[in-house]
Formats: sequence, structure tokens, C-alpha cells
Amino acid sequence: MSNAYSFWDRFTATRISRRRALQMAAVGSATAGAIAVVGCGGGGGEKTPAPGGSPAATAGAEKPFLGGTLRAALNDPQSKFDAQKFPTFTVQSANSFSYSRLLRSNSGFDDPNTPDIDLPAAEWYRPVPDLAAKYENPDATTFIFTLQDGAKWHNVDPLNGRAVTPADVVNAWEYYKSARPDKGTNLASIDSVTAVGANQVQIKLKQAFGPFLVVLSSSSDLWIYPPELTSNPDKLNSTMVGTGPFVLRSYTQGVGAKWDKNPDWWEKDDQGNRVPYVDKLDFPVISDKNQEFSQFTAGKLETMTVPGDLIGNLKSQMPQAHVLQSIANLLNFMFFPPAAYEANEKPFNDDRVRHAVSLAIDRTALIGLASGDNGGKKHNLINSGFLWYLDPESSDMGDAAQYFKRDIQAAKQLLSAAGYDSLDVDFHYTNNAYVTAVPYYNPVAEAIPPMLREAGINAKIVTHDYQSEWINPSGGIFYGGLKSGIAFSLETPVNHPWIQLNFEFTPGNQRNHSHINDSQMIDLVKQLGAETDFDKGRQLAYQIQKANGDKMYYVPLVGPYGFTASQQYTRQWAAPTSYGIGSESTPRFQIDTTKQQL
Amino acid sequence: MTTYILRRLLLMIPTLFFVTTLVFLIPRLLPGDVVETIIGQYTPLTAGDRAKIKHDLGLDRPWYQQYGDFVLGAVRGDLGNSLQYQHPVTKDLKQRIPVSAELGIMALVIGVVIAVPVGVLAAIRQDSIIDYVTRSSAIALIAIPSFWLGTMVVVYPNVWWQWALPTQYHSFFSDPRQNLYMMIFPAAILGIGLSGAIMRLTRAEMLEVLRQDYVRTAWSKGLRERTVVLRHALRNTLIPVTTLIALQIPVVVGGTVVLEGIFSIPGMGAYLVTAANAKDYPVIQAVTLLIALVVVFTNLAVDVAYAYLDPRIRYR
Amino acid sequence: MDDILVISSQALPEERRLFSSTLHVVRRFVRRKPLGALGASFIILMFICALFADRQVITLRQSTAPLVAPHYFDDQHLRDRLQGPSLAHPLGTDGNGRDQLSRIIYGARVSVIVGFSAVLLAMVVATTIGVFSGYVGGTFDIIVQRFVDAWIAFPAIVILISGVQVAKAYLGNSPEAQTFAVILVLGIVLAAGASRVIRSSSIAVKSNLYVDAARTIGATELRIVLRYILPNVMAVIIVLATLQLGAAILAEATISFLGFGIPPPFPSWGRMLGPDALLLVRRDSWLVFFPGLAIFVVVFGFNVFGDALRDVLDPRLRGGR
Repeated sequence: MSNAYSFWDRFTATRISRRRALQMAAVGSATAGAIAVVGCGGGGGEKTPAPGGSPAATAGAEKPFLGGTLRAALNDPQSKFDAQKFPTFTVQSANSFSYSRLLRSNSGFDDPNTPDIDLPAAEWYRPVPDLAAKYENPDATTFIFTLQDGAKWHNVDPLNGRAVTPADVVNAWEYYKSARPDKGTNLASIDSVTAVGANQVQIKLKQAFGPFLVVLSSSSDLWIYPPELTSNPDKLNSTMVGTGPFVLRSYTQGVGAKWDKNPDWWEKDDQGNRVPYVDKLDFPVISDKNQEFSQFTAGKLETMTVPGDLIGNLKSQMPQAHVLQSIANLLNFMFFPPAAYEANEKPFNDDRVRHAVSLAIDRTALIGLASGDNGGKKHNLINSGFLWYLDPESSDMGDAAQYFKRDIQAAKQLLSAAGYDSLDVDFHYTNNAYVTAVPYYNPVAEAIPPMLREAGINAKIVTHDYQSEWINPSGGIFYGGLKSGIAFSLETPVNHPWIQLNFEFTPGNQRNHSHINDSQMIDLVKQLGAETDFDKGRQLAYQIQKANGDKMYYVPLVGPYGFTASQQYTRQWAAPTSYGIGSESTPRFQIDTTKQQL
Repeated sequence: MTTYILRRLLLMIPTLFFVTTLVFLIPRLLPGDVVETIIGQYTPLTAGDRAKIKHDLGLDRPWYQQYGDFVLGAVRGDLGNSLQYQHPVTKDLKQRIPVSAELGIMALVIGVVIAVPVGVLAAIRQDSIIDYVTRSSAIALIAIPSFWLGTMVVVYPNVWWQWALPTQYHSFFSDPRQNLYMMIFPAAILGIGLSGAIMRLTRAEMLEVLRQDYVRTAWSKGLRERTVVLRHALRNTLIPVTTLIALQIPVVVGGTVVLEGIFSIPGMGAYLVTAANAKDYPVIQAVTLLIALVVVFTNLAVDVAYAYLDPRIRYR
Repeated sequence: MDDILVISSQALPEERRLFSSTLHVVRRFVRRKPLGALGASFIILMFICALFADRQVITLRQSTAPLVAPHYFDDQHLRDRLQGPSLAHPLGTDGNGRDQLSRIIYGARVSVIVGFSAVLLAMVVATTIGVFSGYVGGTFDIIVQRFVDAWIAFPAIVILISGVQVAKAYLGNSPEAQTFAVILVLGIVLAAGASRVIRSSSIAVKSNLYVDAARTIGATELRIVLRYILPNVMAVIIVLATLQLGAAILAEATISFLGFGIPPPFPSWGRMLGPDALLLVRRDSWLVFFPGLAIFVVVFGFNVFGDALRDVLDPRLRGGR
């Protein structure tokens, strides 16, 4: 089948106007990005630079604002630009401005306040063209990508504007495989990447892999770096010269970064205007949220993410500012020690105890805490800002739905049925990781132990240093190093649920936090990986979420609403999306320069 | 005089030796394989990577050799590579030292300009209302947490007047106006905090000096109060005060991390704290050595100045 | 200035004399040093909060009977979060719906435990080093003082952060272990400068005639130190300790604010001023005002009291260093 969009079409037909549906039918059309993209649902409420959506096709032929300088707080990549060696969200987002992938995400979110530039859940993370203008899919395991016509590297040393060749892509793939810490397990299904002709690249898979295109378009995987840089890793890490919409002009750690727009970038809007619309990006490093807020209200930033508790202040100080509400694609959850499954160690070897833990949590109250009393949803194993999310209280969850409501009595009963009057456990989390990026994490972590205590689980807080004790690849708690007790964590954000479920349930995978080895889960995940039909995939995803509810290996928590604010003289602002925002929504950000005060 | 200076210089050597040894010891006090702890969190570890990093860090050699290398390197100006950023520490220091130096100097100047006149005033009007207010304020100023004050400065003017400071730091030479505009607030907060201690000492010393015979002589000569205070008493008052000012320097150099965070100043404080938190030992070693050097040399300078001004000290 | 330690010589029974003389001393102190007395009253208030927050006098484990504190510090009511001062919650509630007044009262306990332990440790270490170095003198003194120089020149923030990391590596991650680590490290930092002061004082005392006299009658060196030097240095130690308490509390607040200090769930005033509260300061400024006020009041109290004590115990110290 050559039209990969059927993968996603099913959900979109009812919500999108006819005009958009026609556009979508054109395979690999460069206007795929014209589907109204309003960002968000992305990496969790941290202060990533604000990007914008594409021009609303329904708004008629409004002339876009051109020019201007977009200012927003920078997530400092700490002098690292090699996202393969250092696959952290800061490096990926920095890359997204200067580099391209073969395909990129069509990230979006669902805000009832802005139906015009709305993007239904099914459109989220849909792969759309980036460096590859279109592709063919002659059989299940073969993809042929045609590169953009006239694609050039940035006109900066050492590339100096030379044309992109298929060999460049092959080289980028080789580098990906060699430099990644996990050797690229997400794309392990790729058998070979070869150059074909003057402007095509062929990728052959080992077997059919449903999520392939989505993983390829993910911001955490295959960035196309030039050979001139990959051959010199120090240089690769200290500068960015790519094919992306913006050309890096300067970067000073701890101070900020600046980009100019790439005049040769291939994307155009509906009317044929080239994007990016803005001329420059100027992202200072602002480490303090209060400072950022002050800067924004003083007109020195075009956009920022706003903590729920401050929305009231923002609206009263700046009633004209645009405010978007969204749920981040970020799973917060609790997990249990590997020893509970591997060595049958008490007490968490017993699923009744694990269920009791979930029953003790008052998720509604946590939503209030995390969102600043602005509401949100209860997460499931696939979080509520993500594709194929299943409401944990819906009927598809079956019996497992009961564990997502707070019920202290039931919790106590389960505990005594398992043989415990009370339990003394340690409650682990890391208190110095997410202070600015995910401000609700620490307060939620402090709020959970008192809830557990009500059910007789005496949880004692034990805090950990993020770098050395939490995500240390050798023995960190996140990587299977939890000795006992309960751990409260954020999950790595991904573009396709399969990626997350795969690493959470595959034995031996670094990110299988509790070393879970359950044949039912393994089987379901394998099926999901091979499934190319969208509806069938969704059903499998639902089954997995239900199975997790039944066994409560991971205890999902809450998805609070988050907010992004933009100045009133901007358009197509968007909440931070995936970490690929630089090439996804920033190019469509518009600034009315007559009103901007620099 | 020269013997005094030479003797003090000689005494500095063991001090610096102790400092470098102490800072060198810290990572080696951690239990378990230090290599695993430090580098495990920075890079993905294949056996090859591990060996290479161990070699780069010099951790595969005996500790005394490592120490020697570090010291020799430091003398040559090579302070190693930061683990976090994978580039020479000196690169970062070149950017950050001028920033902190400027902040420190501004803060000290502000502190002294506030504290000394007020302290003198309180002394010459001892036990008056001015004196009481001064003494209480001095202590109050020490007690106010600087991070609290910094946040108030960022928040309330914004709430009331939509005012905000710039966040992009420019060096003094590239854009003096912006630079001073950004630096004045954290410098003032820092300076006010320092002024408390300086104020108290100035007052105490001035009281002491005013009791001296030579001051009484000046009075009896019929000189005006202003002359007595400024020409005769102030010089001697300032001697111990200078010592105190010199002792504030370590505070200013390493202790400004909070204000740097709030006001987006890329100085040494934030750099050091980030490194300490991330266990980036090359950076910690380099910066600690630097700070210790500054402190030790400042003390030396002050002692020499002291000895110069007060000959009695030279012969102790 | 009068020596206020002179006891009036009326013929009273022993206990009454002691009681009335103590009262006498206090009254004199209040009259002569009103600022110091004010400071002392702040300190006493702090102690009352610390000791009587709940029935378990000094620990921080869960208790069922708060006394001075109306609620336990962990008592959260998420649906009542961020409420302003009211009858039910005189200082409002914080982001997690906990009563701010109770947390400040319990915070006094944390500050007392941490501050006092750190200063006690610091004084013990500083006295040992200072007295011995000052008394023995000679090369020993020179070398030890170089070490002390290094100690003082070492950036405190590095000692604090790295020191806690090392301590935690040995003691574990529990909140008690982390608190102990903080105490240890604070003590080390404070001891440095203190040892210098104590040393100068010992040197001054050493030159007194009675020390020589003691030597002639055959007292051992150790005995001289313990019976003659130490008691006369005590005044300095006490004043120093009082002033260090203020510094210790402020230092603990700063590192807790930065996230390295006393871990949750213990309510440290510094952490209460931390990023979570600062974020909300625009709308709920009381969250930041009261812990800041508490720190200020206590540090102020210790400093003025220490100053007054210094003036009273040894006027010669008034000049500073």
C-alpha cells in the first residue's frame, strides 16, 4: 500500500474541513504541515521555546505577519549539541531548530477554546515530510524516501551551502547506530539504509514494524547530521550546521542562543509563502520562573509556559495575552522494585498490595495540586496527553477501573487480605531534577506519602540526586536500580506508545524499570509493534492498558492541564510540543512587528 | 618589611598544599569505584568508553601522580576538562571570572560606601537615636536572606509597574549601560548584606580610636569635629575595617549563587554550584584552587598593608 | 561598667539568694541591654516552639498530639491549598494544603536541632584545635594554622555540597541521614573561623601570670589547659557560639533554599522559602513572608543577644575580632 496516510486518516475525517482532507490525500505533499498544528501535548510543561502552529486554513487567505524576532526562554543544552551521544531533551530541542529528520511530527493538542486551530488527538505525532519530501512503500518492509528538491546545508562553515546528498543520510544513520548509548534500539527494525540515485534513500526493515514512520519522525532518534561534523565529534558537539529552518548564529552557555532564519528551507504555507515567518530567534537562558514571568509581562518575551497557579495572575496582568491550555505528553507514575518480580520479594510481589497503593491515591486532589486548580485528567499507562489513551475509568478497563478511584477502605481490606496490618516502605523520588522543568513534580511527591499513610502504608520520603542516583546508567533507580519501596518518577516522553511500552515491558531493556517479565505483556507489545492497522493498534493499546491495570505493574497518576501564553501581537503561537518544536511549530510563529517592542 | 613579606609568602605554600590536597581528596572519599560514580553518570559506558575516560581523567594512575599532574598543570594554566561540558575549564573561567569580579567589586564598593559613613556617624553620636537605629539596622541587614530580597526585587516592581530587568548579560566592555543596569541590583543586595558587618566594626573601631590620647590632643587643639574625625581618627579606624572587607571576598566570590540565579548573571557562583551538584570534579578542583588563591593572596595583601600602616605589627 | 555578676551580699538563705540573684542578674541585663533582652526573648520564643510543638520533645516523627502547633507539619488538605490567613489557619496554607503556622513552629524545631548540633560540633572542634594550637605554640602552631588557613580559604559552598554528598554516600539517603550530614558539614564550616578566634584568646590567656604560677607548682600541661586556659576562654566561646547560631541557621536556610539542605518532609524555613513558594509569591506572598520573617527574627535575636553577651562578659571584646 502506497498511501501511508490511511494509517491515520480514519480519525481525522470527521473533524477536518474538506479543504484539509483534500490536501491530506496528496501523499507527501509539502502542505501536509498545513493541517492546523497548534502545538502542545509535548514534553511536559517545561520552558521550551514557544513555537507556533501553521496558518489556519479555515481563516481564509489572511496574510501572515512576516519578520520580527521571537524571544523565549532557552532550555540550555549545556554546551552539547550531539543528540546521539547525549540524548536529553535539551539537546534534542536545540537540534530541532537547526537540523532535520527524514520525517517530522505533526504535533498538536486539543483545546476546546480554539476550535479553529484544533488538532484532534489522532493527528498528534503524525509523521509529515521534513527532509524527505515524499516516500513510497512498495512492500511492508521497504520504504523509498525522496529528498526535498534543492535541499542545501546551511551556508556556514564547513558545509557552506552545499547540496544534500543521499550519502549524507546514510552517514547520519551510521553515526546514529554507533554513537547512541543504547545503539539505537528504537530503530532496531532497520536492516539497511542505502543511497539510491541522486536524491533517494531506501530503507529496508527486517520485518513489518507498525510504528516505523512515527519512530523515524521522532525527535529523539534520527537527526540528519552532516558527514563533515560526524567525522569530528567534538565539532559536532560544539556547533550545529544542518538543514533545518534556522541557522545557529551564536550560543553561550548560561547566557543564551541566537538563530537566523534559513532562507532556503523548503516548507511553504498554504499560500506559498516560505516559512519561517520570523527573521530571528533570540532565546536567553532564564533560570528562574519568576524572572521569566516578569520578562513576559514586561513585553520582553513573546511566549512562555505558565504554571497553573499563575494563570490567574497572568490573566489579570495581561488580559489581552493569548493563553492555550493543554495536557503534556508526560507520564508520571510509580513503580516497584525489581526484586518483587525477580525474587518474589515482599510486599510488592503481591498484586493486592500494589492495588492498595493505587487505591490510596486521591487523583482528583493531585490534579488540583499539579494544575493549580485548573483541572486535568487521570493518566493511564499511556498518558492522557497521548495517542491511544484509555480513560482509566471507562468500561474498556473492565474491573481494573476500580483501582483508579480513591477508596481507603478497599485499600485497607486488600492489605489485610494480603496479610499486612500496616506497611513501612520507603518512598523514593528525585528532588533536584524537575524543579524548573516540571514544577509540580516535587509538590506531588510530597503529597503522596500522607495519602498512603491513610491506608496504613507508612511511606517515608527518601530523596535522591538526579544525576548520580536516579538516571545514572549504571545502577540508577530509573534504570532498574530500585532496591525496595516505591519510586515516583516521570517517564521518558516518546512519539509513539509502542516505544514506551516496548521499553517498559521487554526483559533486559534498560528502561524496564522494574525488570518486568510477563509473557502476556511481552506478547501484546510484540503484536502492537507488528500491527500496521490503526484501529487494531488502538485495540491492542487498550488491552495493554487494561492488563497493566489488572496487574498494576506501573501505577499511572495524573495529567494536569498546562498553559502557554503568548503576547497579543503574535499569531499561531503554540504550546511546546514534542522536542522537535524547532522544525514543527516555531516556523509558523508570527509576530506583528509594528507592535513588538524589542 | 621585606622579611615580613617573604615569611608570609613562604607560609602560603603549605596552606595552598592543604587546599589542593583537601579538594583532591573529596572524590576519593566516596565509597566504591570512583570512576563508576563520576563518569557513569556522564557518558554511556562501553568498556572502551570507560577506559578512555578513565585515562583522560588520569584516574588510571596512582593518586600521587594524579596530584602532581594536577598541580603542574595548574601552574601551566591547564586546569583539566569539565566532565559536564567536555571542554577546558579555563574556557568557562575566562567568561565567568570577570562577571563575578565585577559583581564583587560593585558589591564591596556599595557596602563600604554605605557602611563606613554610617558607622562613623553612629560612633560620633554614640547612644543617640542614630546610633541605635544604625546598630539595629546593621544586624537586621545581616539577618535578611539575600535570596528572599532578590526575589522581592524581581517580583514586586513587575507586579506594580510591569518592570523587568534584562536577562541577557553583556560584558561591561561590550555594553556598559546594559551591564551596569543588570548588575546594580544584585550588587546592591549583596552590598547591603555586607554593609551590616562593616558598619558594626567601623563603629566599634571608631569608638576605640576616639578614646585614644592623640585624638584627645586633637580636640584640645581646638580642631573642628570634622577634621578630628576625618584627618586623625578615620585612618586608624580603617585598618581593621580593611581586614574585614578583605574577609568578605570569599563570600562574594563563591557565595553569590542564589543572586546569580535570580538575576541571570553568569558568574562563578552558579558555575561552582552546578559543578558541585553534578560532581564535576575537575571544575570543583579548579575553582576551589582559584578561590583559595584569591583569599590567601588577599589576606597577604591586607596583612602587608596592615604591617605597613602599623609598624608595631612587623615585629611580632 | 558595673560587673553585673557581683552578687549582693545580703544574708539570705541559699536558694533564695540564688533565685533572687538570678532574677537580679536578668533584670540588670534587661535594663542595661534592652536590645539584647529583646533578642533573648526571640530566642526563648523559638525554644518554646521547638520544644513544645508536640508532645515528643525533640524528634520529628509522626505525633498524634501537637501542642503549640495546631497541626502536624505533614497534615495536608489538598482541597484547602493556598488559602490566605484566616481563623482556621492564621498564617494561611501552603501549596500542599498544610497549615503554615504549624510548619513554621515545627521549623523552629528543625532549626534548633540543626543549628545547635552544628554549633556544638563546631565549638568542640574549634576549641580543641584553637586551644591546643594556641597553647602549644611553636612549629605545631604554625603548621596547624596553615591547615586552618586552608580550611578558611576553602569555599564554604563546596564543603557544604560535596560534604553532604560524601556523607550521604556513607550514611544513606534517609531524611535523618541527610539531616545528620547537613549538621556535620555545617559544623565543619563554622569551626574554621571560630578556631582562629579561640586561638587568639588562648594565646592572650596563656600569657597571664597565673599560668606561669601554675606551672611552677608542678601542674601538668593538660591540667593547665583544662583548669586555667579553658575556663578563661569560655566567655569567648559562649559569645562565639551565640553568634554562630545565627550564622548556622542562615546557612542552613540558604542551602535548603538551593535544594541541598534539610530534605522533605522536615519543614525547614529555608526550604519553605524555596522555589515552590517563590513561584507563588505574586499571588500568595504570605507563603514567603512568614518563613523569611522567622529566619530574620531568629538570626537577629541571636546576633543582638550575642553582642549584648559580649559586651557584658568582656568589654574588651567589644572592639571586634
